[in-house]
Amino acid sequence: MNIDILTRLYLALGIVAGGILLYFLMNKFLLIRTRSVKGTLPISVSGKVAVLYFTTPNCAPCKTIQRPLHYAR
Amino acid sequence: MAIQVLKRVDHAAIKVNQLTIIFLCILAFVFNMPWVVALVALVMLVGVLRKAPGFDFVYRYAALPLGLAKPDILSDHPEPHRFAQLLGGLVLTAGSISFLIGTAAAGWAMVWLVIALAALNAFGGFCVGCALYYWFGRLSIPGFTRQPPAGSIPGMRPEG
Repeated sequence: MNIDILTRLYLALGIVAGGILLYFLMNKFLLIRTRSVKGTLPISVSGKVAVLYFTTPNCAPCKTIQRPLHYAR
Repeated sequence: MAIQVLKRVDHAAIKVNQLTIIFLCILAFVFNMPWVVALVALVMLVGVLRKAPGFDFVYRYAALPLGLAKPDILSDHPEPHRFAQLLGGLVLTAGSISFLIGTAAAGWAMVWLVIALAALNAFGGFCVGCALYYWFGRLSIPGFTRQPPAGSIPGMRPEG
């Protein structure tokens, strides 16, 4: 087999393996980061039912849509 | 907010399209055949004009009859996928031009970029081009009118 083709084949295999490794490490990093944040949520501290909602100071639709939940008993 | 009507999008056809692109681009790299890159770019851009995955003929005439793929029809917007294909086709076109003007390293870098993004979509379920489309939509750029299907992360494969 042509040496140039062989070199390119090994290079391609190396790049693919590097990409898979990078993807695997990225997923591992995200899982570790999520686990470290999990225990800091107020819900896990108090042991009570809590509402976690997402908004910004100017997000009117967020507040409008989520308002009924705030007043739910 | 306008009501968005989702269409039936066969994600298996999209996946086979991406796997074909990955296979052909790696083949082009290993055997140093820049003309294959230009051909892949052409097929992808023609696919954009046809409003279909460029290599949907591989799906219809090979993958389906041979039982290598099964239809995976989801409620989704086809436009972001078309935009992603357009981006991929343009990057491969730029790569082909790089080969023509003698900057092969830049050309192969662009080819590997497309391979990486297609692999992320095919194996990881995340479409970077689609995420860009939805991001442009949020920035109110004309032409980017679709919003992610309810409950799905922009760019991620929708559930069910």
